[in-house]
Amino acid sequence: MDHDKRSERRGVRWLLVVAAALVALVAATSAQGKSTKASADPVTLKVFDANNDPGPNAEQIELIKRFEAANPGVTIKRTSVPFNNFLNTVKLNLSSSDAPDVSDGNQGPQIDGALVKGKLITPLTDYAKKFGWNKLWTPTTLAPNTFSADGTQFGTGTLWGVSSRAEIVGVYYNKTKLKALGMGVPKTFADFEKILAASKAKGQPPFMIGNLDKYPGGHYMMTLADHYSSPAALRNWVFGRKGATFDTPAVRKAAAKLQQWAKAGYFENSFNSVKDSDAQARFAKGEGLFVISGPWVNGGFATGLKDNVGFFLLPPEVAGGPTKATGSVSLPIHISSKSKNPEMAAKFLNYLTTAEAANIILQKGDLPARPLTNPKVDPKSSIASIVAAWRKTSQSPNLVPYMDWPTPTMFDTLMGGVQSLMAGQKSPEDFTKSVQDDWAKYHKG
Amino acid sequence: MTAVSEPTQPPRPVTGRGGRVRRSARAGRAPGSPRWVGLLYLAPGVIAYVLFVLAPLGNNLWLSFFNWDGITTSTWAGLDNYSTVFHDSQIRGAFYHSLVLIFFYSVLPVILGLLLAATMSHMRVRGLATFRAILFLPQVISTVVVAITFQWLYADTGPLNQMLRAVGLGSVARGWLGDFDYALPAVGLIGTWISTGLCMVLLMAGVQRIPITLYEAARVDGCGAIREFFAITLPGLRNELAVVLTITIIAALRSFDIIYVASLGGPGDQTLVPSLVIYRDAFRNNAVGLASAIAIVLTVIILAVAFIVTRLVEDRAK
Amino acid sequence: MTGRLDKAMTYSILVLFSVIALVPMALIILEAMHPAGELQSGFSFPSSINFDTFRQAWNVGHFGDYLLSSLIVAVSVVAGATVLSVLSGYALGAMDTPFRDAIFYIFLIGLVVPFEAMIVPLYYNFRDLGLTETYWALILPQLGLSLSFGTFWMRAFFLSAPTELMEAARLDGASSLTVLWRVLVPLAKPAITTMMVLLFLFTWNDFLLALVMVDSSDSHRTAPLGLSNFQGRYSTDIPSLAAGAVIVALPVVIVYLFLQRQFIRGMLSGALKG
Repeated sequence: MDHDKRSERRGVRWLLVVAAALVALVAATSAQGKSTKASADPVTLKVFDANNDPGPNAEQIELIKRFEAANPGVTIKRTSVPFNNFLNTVKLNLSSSDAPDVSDGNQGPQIDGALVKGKLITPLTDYAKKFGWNKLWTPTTLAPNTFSADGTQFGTGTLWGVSSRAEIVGVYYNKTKLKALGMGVPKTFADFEKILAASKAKGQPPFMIGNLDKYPGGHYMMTLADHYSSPAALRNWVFGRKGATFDTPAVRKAAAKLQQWAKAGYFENSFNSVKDSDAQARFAKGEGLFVISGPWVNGGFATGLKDNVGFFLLPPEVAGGPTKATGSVSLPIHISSKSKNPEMAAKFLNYLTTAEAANIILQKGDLPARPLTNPKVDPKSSIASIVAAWRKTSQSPNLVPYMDWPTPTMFDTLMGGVQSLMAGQKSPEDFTKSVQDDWAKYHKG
Repeated sequence: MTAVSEPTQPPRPVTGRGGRVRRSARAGRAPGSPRWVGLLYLAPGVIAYVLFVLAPLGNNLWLSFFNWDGITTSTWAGLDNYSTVFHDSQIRGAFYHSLVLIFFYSVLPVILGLLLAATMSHMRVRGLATFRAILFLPQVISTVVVAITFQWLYADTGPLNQMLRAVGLGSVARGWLGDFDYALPAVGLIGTWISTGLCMVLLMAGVQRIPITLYEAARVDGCGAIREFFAITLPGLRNELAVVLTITIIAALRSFDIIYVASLGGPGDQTLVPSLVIYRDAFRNNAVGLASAIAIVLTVIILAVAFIVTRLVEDRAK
Repeated sequence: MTGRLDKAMTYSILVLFSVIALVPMALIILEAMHPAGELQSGFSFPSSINFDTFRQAWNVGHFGDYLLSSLIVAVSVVAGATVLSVLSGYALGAMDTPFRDAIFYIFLIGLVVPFEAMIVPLYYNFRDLGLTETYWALILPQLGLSLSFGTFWMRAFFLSAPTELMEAARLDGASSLTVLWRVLVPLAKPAITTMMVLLFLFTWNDFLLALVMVDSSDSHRTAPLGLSNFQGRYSTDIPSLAAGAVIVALPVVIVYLFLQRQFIRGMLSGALKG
């Protein structure tokens, strides 16, 4: 019996030892996992971004390196994820106890609106004054990064984020292939369609696109909607102004045109099963004639095609007419309200707006948000055309903000709808109606 | 779906098994040892279980009656979320897609498993252990790995299409996961690949338990192969079938990993399933209450299915 | 009259499906032997058998970190769940515990109810407690869920445990704990081992919980989640992706191969016992 009691105690003791060891192990590794929040010097900044495309990724790496060099004692821990993942996790990250100090957001109620409502990000009014951001950009340019203090009114009120880059959506083209068709950069929409038909006749679908991730197709829809419709009307719709609607004859015409292009076989085969990054890589290797997208893809294209890639905005109906385009400053960068180092975070944000940063962005083939007086770019390069396009359009009434912003569900509704539209599964009327239904549901009252 | 959701047991024991067939109750306690000692043993497990399974479940039910964006305060919604679940065509579509997946994850593998059971019902198979080990392998591999593998296999320029083109079926070749008509079946076949091994292994084992004498007697009576199958094999496999059907149907209804990694619910909404909608609404679209309601509806459906299948299929007499 | 037809059909089916089970993984392994960064379209046999891509993927993709995270979580869950399941299964299967049937049915809920029905509140509660982005966020819920299976499994074993041994020990004056520890556990080793392997399998392959709880940085990502993340960043580099896939699948496959005989046998007996 003594024997029993003793072995029983031994058994229990072993159990306790194992349990204690486990707890210690988990605690130790958990502690390691958490970031080291230093006291005075040195400072660690956690930065979270969605710069997954090759160009923006390279820029961010370089910018961080330079900032760390210029600010000894500051270490930046960067996490970067693809865009779809980003949409899924950014709000969760900023609301966790281990929130990053600096994080990308996205304009509109889905991300930024929610962040403001949840008081997860710091208003940038004071920093804007201190660093002069208000002087760098006009209110119109900054509008997408603003929200009323209660997070309900989009496009007006307080400034919540600062963008390091700018975006304008247009047509990238493979110069050699265009010349081989015997055609030049089109001056009218009709000319553009002639090129599409010619390319297809030669057995090559003109548009290199991979729409598995859903959003690439959206850029085509937006560009066509800009072309047929009124930028002012679309702008009102994006910012949720009363009475605005997506379901107009003009937009329906744009949707019909997109569907017609898809039916004519102008898009890469099986494009709905190809990933965006794959399509980009293939274009950079010389496949395909056109890509309709923004500056974030130019870094990769320029690296692959060098001088052989060009850029133009979708031409107007009539030669010399207004060129309308989708564009805006890029993802707003926020300071977390939980950050222990907001001053240093603000300093980093400001660094991203400096001329030095703008030049780095430019060198990597991307478009900086900071207005450039004398950009050092090769006039033959695609980035030169992009910079010129931005210069021409950003302050004009022809710039249309992104159409996936207006509601928390609009990204999925619009992009998924475009997939169906392009596959001939949805009529243009049903498409525009479903988009407007989403908008109306959110903006009722 | 996790690679092995639950390997082999029915969701609940039927009366007559597992609870009653045992010896006297006195065996478990020493003379004088109070009955509540058992509760003491249960305590730590029950506490963990309540904290991390039951409480969240209850919490989920509670959340489903609110509108909440996950960040600010919630507002009462009553049954609004449930109304949305039943009226929103996209959500209804997601549930419908799960039903389609049931065919691929469950019905098809079971048929294949039964076919195998039928042919081997009265023979000894050589190398059975090796076959079992190989057939069960798909269950063991992480679903993320499986999804990535099949995404590559199904690609427009991937091995499957290469093969089709090589045998002259090039017109059929396409990017399967981006095709509006074939994306869902393509995803379903991934589930078939994962589940068939499990079904085969379980049904093979079950069929070996059927006494050969039954078959011999049937043979003497002049039974043909088909009658043999329906009269002896199938009834003899009822319990295994109940287990396998329940596990695979639940896996079909819960499927998340494969679709998230391979097709993201696309193209359009063609491969959207309830678990994906829950994830999207809870974390991306600021609609936590709605997500919770969908989860509750999904749970009720799963419980109903498990109950029905077990009741209908299982052999209570055993 | 087994018939050659029956034999032929049986072996054909077995061989056919064995091949189908193996081919996808075989292709991926071969794909991983191509040089990294090659823009592959479709499958082709590698020019040589080399493991460079594996090494590169390992370094670039932080797979060492991911595997370590998976290991920490899996070991913790399995250890904790085993201990608790043995205790609970004992109480429900070998002792005259009050309400034992009701309690057992309650444990079964966790086997049937989808994880999706718990994950949303779990996430938000853990976030409020500051537990997201920690290993606890992965260990605790999986511990709870494992108890459904584990309790079921061990209870089934204890129910069919030989009563004579237990009675004999009791008559010697052994306490319930002693009966468990010295009499039953040694007998239960095969059942416990099978359970541990199964729990290891579930836990290692978990994706949804990790995706929700620990996806904002590499510090706690488990292997399947890490692989998905790797894919998001290097999706055009098929050989590296394939290498990463193999790395993630390998540990469980190795455990499985070593223990599969016992593992499958244990599983089959468990299926039909419960």
